Amino acid sequence: MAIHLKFWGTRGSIPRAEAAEKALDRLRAVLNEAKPEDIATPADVDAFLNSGCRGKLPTIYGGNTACVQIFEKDGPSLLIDMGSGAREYANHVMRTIGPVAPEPFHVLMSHFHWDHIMGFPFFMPAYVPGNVINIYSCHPNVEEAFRRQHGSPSFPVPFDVLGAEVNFHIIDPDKTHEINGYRVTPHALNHAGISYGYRVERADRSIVYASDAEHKPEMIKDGYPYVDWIKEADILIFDAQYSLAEATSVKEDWGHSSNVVGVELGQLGQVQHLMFFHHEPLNDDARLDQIVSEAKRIDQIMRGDRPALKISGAYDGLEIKV
Amino acid sequence: MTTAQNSTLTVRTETIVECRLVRISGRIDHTNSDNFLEELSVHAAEVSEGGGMVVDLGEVEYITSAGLRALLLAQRTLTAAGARLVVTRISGVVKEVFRISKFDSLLSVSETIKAAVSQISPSAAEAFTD
Repeated sequence: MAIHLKFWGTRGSIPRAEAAEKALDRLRAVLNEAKPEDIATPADVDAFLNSGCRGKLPTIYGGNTACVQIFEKDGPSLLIDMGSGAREYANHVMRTIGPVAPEPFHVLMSHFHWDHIMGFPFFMPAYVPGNVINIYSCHPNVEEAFRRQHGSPSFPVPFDVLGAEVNFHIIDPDKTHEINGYRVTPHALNHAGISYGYRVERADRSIVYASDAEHKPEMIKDGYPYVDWIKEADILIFDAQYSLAEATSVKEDWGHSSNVVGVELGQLGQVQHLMFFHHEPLNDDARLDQIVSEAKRIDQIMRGDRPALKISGAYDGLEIKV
Repeated sequence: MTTAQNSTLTVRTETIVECRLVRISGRIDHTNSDNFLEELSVHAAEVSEGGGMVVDLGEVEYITSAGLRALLLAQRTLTAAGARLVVTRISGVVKEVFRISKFDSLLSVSETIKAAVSQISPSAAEAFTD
């Protein structure tokens, strides 16, 4: 059975709400590009839009913050992080499964900065008796972090009002845990307060979620433990929020990396597919596409005789089969 | 003039009045970026206030993030000492890496060695012969 990966939120730092005028700009651009044959049937319209209007318009990345789901069709599921994208996921569950899920939710938390936790107060299943939510973290203060944002003065509803059973589990980094049918290996990443990435494996497939990580250029060499941890992963979800210049100068020690460093690590780790994530909220769709295309060029320059590294940008709503 | 070499990197240096000219050739990657950093650090530490260092990358095939960071650290050392760093003759893929990484906006870049040396001081530019 194939593993699927769905991105419910891919932005970093803060949700990016697109202004109405931007939506109109996009609509205007689509109409300008469309030829009669592009809109002849509903299928033609879908094909036209899904191709970015024959590649003329940039990918739409969306604005929700970090939330990723790993699942099998009609099988077990894991959620990673509870950014504002978790609200979209929750709405999807309520629509497709109903208010009470027959199976517990299993959520891995990287850390508790706002953009990774802000979706939980809007996670509707948490309010419904009968639901069970298991939250896993390497941070011993995980429960305190959830309770603190869920009440005065930050939120009107106290945590204790939640109808669901919410269980917190502290897990150890660099050990493999069996969680809902997946092998999960957390690993500490360089970020203020430490972010934990997760290598998630099932059968012979592997996905590494490694958001919120600042890799100093001098770390990138043989013997860097991160490289062993991501080794030969099918997917590496990589935080490329800044340019390399930003990450080594004005935004040094802010806890994020760049597309250049992503390619260097992806090559060293021999991963199959490098996916950029935790997009800078200041960057528009065109700039995010450019970050991907520039990374492909860096890979082309560096790789020598090796096969090309697959590189793409994760966007809200993207679902792929691993 | 002094010369230091490892498997993929050659560093040649000369001093032109208050300007240290560091000419690099080869590939700067994760296997030798520590050597590159050390070379730049040694030479940057020897530059006096009011002077500067020119790093010629004209014969460099490729530079990784660690190599770019080494240039940035050299710039910090020099700035703290009241001196400056100018990078010159970036071309081809190195120029692309500078553009993509945005290091072309972080470091002072000159087209030619002569122009770079001129940014350090008029007397160094006058004394420079290619």
